Amino acid sequence: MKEIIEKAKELLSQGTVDLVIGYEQCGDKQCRPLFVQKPEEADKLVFNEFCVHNLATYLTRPEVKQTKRVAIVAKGCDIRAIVNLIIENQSTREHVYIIGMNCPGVVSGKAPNPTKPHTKCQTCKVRTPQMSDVTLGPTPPESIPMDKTITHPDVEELKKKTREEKWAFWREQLSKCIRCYACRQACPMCYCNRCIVDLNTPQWIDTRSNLRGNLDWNIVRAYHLSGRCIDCGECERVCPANIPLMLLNRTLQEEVKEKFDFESGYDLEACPPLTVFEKDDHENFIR
Amino acid sequence: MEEKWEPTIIAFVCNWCTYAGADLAGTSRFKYAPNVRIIKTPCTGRIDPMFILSALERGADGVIVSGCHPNDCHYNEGNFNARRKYIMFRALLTQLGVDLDRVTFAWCSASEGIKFAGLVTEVTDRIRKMGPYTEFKQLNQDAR
Amino acid sequence: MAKIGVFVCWCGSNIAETVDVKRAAETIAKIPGVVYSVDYKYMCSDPGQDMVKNAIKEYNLTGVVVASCSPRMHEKTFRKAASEAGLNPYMLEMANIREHCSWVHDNKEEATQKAIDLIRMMVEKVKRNKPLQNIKIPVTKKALVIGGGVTGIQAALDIAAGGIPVILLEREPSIGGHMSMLDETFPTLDCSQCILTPKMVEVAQNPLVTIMTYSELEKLEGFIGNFKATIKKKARHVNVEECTGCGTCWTKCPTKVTSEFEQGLGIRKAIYIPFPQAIPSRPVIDEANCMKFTQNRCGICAKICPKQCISYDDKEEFIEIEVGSIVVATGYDLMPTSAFGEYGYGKYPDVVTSLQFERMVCASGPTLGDLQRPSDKKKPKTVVFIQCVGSRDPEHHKAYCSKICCMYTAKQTMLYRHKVHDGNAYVFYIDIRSNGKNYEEFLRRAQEENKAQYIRGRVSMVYQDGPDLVVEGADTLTNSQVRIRADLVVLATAMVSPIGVKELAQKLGIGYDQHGFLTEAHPKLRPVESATAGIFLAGCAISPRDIPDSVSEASGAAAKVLGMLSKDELEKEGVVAIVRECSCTGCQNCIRVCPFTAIALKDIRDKAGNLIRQVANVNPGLCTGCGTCTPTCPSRSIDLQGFTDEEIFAEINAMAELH
Repeated sequence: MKEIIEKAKELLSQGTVDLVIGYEQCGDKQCRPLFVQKPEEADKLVFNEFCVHNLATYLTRPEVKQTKRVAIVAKGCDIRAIVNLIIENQSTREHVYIIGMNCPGVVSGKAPNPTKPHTKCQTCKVRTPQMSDVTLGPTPPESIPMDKTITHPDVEELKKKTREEKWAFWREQLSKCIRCYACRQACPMCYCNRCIVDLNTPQWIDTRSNLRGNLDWNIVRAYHLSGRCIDCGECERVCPANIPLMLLNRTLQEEVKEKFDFESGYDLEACPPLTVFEKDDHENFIR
Repeated sequence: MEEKWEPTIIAFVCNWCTYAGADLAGTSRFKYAPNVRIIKTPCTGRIDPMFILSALERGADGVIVSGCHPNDCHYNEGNFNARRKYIMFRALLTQLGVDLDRVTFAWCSASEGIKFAGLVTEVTDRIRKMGPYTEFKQLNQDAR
Repeated sequence: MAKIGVFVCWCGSNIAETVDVKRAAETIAKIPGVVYSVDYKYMCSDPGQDMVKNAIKEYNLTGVVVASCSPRMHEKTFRKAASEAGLNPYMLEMANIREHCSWVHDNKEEATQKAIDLIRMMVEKVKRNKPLQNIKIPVTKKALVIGGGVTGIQAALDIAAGGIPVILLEREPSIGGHMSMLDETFPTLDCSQCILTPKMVEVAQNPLVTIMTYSELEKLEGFIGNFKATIKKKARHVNVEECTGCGTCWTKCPTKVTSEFEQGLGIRKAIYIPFPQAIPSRPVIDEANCMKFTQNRCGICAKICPKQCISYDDKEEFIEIEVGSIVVATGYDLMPTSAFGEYGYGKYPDVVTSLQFERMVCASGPTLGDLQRPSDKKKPKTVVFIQCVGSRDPEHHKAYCSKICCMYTAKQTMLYRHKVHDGNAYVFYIDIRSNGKNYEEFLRRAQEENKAQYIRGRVSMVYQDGPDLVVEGADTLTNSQVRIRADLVVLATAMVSPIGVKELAQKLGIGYDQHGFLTEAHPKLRPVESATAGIFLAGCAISPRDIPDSVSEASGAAAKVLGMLSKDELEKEGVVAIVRECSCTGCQNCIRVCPFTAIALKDIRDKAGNLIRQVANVNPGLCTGCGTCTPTCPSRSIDLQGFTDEEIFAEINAMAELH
């Protein structure tokens, strides 16, 4: 991982950036985000299959926004989040120096003992990162072609259930939500200064941890992510209640792909699909 | 005394087409089921999916969302934007197992008083057969 | 604390017969916050309105609900009354218990319960309503008319007659449009030039009208009352101020070019005025054909111009103008005739369009009115006119009717017979449409006095046989095949929207249909308005029209402009979006969905001028209050005043209390 360290030192010492966001090791099978402001602090930087965090989420933090320029260690999937942040005016291409990492895939499962390879990595279209200012790391296995439509087995399985079965499933899952909002905090696309859940005029969403409130909260979050979620899976990873949040998100992204032929986070010129329309959008549900 | 259950239907409509269509149903004296309560908004573009969810959670057994036909929007594009929102919202609710047969979307113009009347009666009859939306009413009970 | 007054109307028996209005008023009186609740026979009557006004004063009401007919009927009435009593008009709402209740239900119990619900929902809404102010917009008292045909000329004249300065914009070198090309006009056979030229002169001499020819709209910014237009003045290469129109340059110019004005039947020079009556009567250099530009030689015109008006170095100029209102009168084109292979247009020189025929018979045309067919200058003894060429043909071309062809074809048969007294004029038609003042009579004259022979049916093909053209078609009335040997065939080709209109419409932000015709705000009740406030439409830009219709619409649009610009300020409803800047992230969702580009980013800076962040900012002058922005905002930082989330949520919640 010398090349990351060297790159970080170079960027910081030459004054190209005043902050590098990357990863450091914190245990055998665990990494955590590292914020490097001085060249001598860069030695701790690593990159390996335990670098699961989507660091793009920090780009919208006020402290990071105030930097002159920030470098970020980013996997191809993380760059999708950066693309969306730029589209949504939360960052600019000029402000972010992207240290893109060739990535063979990261682990899934809870720290400190993550077990299996991450689902998202099996369908990854950007193992070689796009749009980075510099690309580091050994050449990864070939990515899935861009135009391939991905269907997730778990989504397919859920779709097969009857309505009553789905409702029962989600009742059970969402009953577990403790409304800690870790999902919101980890999500790079959840950057509002004031979340709708914290609004009380009117209070759309019950803030208490009851099923109605939990349902509303998760519906709103999934809906707000439709056409914006970049499949990083951070919400699900950080959920202390183990709610399969990505199941909802993936459903919606598959719907966006099917109905609007759009996948978010690959094109800087694109508009979020719920802010545009086609006159011949699907409407067989309308009478 | 046990009262016969009647469904409550909330209709979110746009001001220019469907509200006016409902007015026309009135002036034409087209009779329809009395279960509907209309909430007026300027445009389907204003009709937030949250409205639908809130209505169901707060006691509606069925919801109607209706506005101008495509290309007829008073604001040119509001209904097109709304349509996309509903596409996604429906996909989400379907996956969650929310009963989408209780939510009816329709285009109904200012001249379609007869369509509006028929729509309300048809939806009311359908929801009456389906019975109260106990799954959501239960949520509401739990939250009290 | 809210103090709400509720007024339940009987509407005579219209409501009271089906709704127990007394019970409704009594039930509503028990809702917290309702301090006054009554029923009355006719709320809209003067005594009814006085009840509202008096109660507002007596009980210091903070909000009012009138439960009666549709707000479409009387919202204005009651809001005015509230306003007169000192209550902000937006603090009054109507519960529609007539159109939406008593008139559509029979069962009194059910209707009463529904009426109570509807009133309760409005009570809960009005409790949360906020006073709103109407929005005042300053007005630039100046108008822009786009298109210098007869429609645009009339609009400019009428606007100027109201004392408002007008800019008349025309992309061609002269105003006059298609009407200046016509010979005589139906149904009076006035000479077109004779009636148009005085209008052209009048508009040129009007001190309030500025004519800008050879100029196009480049960009439009702003909104109703406050448009900023950028006009592109194409390089004319002639100093219009100095030039006297003496004609030396175009007489001496050696380059001959096919004349657009003569529909390809005549020639002009590379420096030219399109026609003798052109306004301005100043030439223009056609860069595509002038040798100075194509080969960098010649230069004769500059050498011989007695006033040294010619400058080959002229560049296009961009001029910014501010106007309050715009009339779009961009007219039409004929469908490109390359589309009609079966009629041999382009292949056989004696197959011409109706507009070419106008030039062939016109006294100012290339033959000075001596009718000759193009191939051999022979006087045509038999002419076949084919109607609906490209019109009413949804499979191949345009589904619509071009509206004027029946009449001008009848006219052209007359013009023909006036030139060739023993000639034969045949007309192939599908249906005859002659529904205007004196139109049917005119048509009968063509058929009876001028012996035009009408054949109902389509032409299948036209082909050359020796010097003659053979027209093969069907007569669907006698169910027989028809074959006519003709000297000349005239095609009544479809009217289509001119090239560039879609791009213009996009610049203006107005709608157009699949054919490129501009869309009215309402096809019946607002026929000369576009959906964009302050932009009006007239003439063939909307769809095919004849001269009288176009001119009336021009006057109609001018009346709309004058009505708008007669005020110093425009007032519009206070139902517009508002941004909560503290929580706005500037994500641009609302900006992307706004159909009226009423929202833009605004920079928030610290005292030192450093950019801290960007937020959405609504231009209330442009906002129409559709509310499409509101549900698009993830943090609910933009809300629609008058229909806020809080107000609508209250209506939904009012139901929860009941069920």
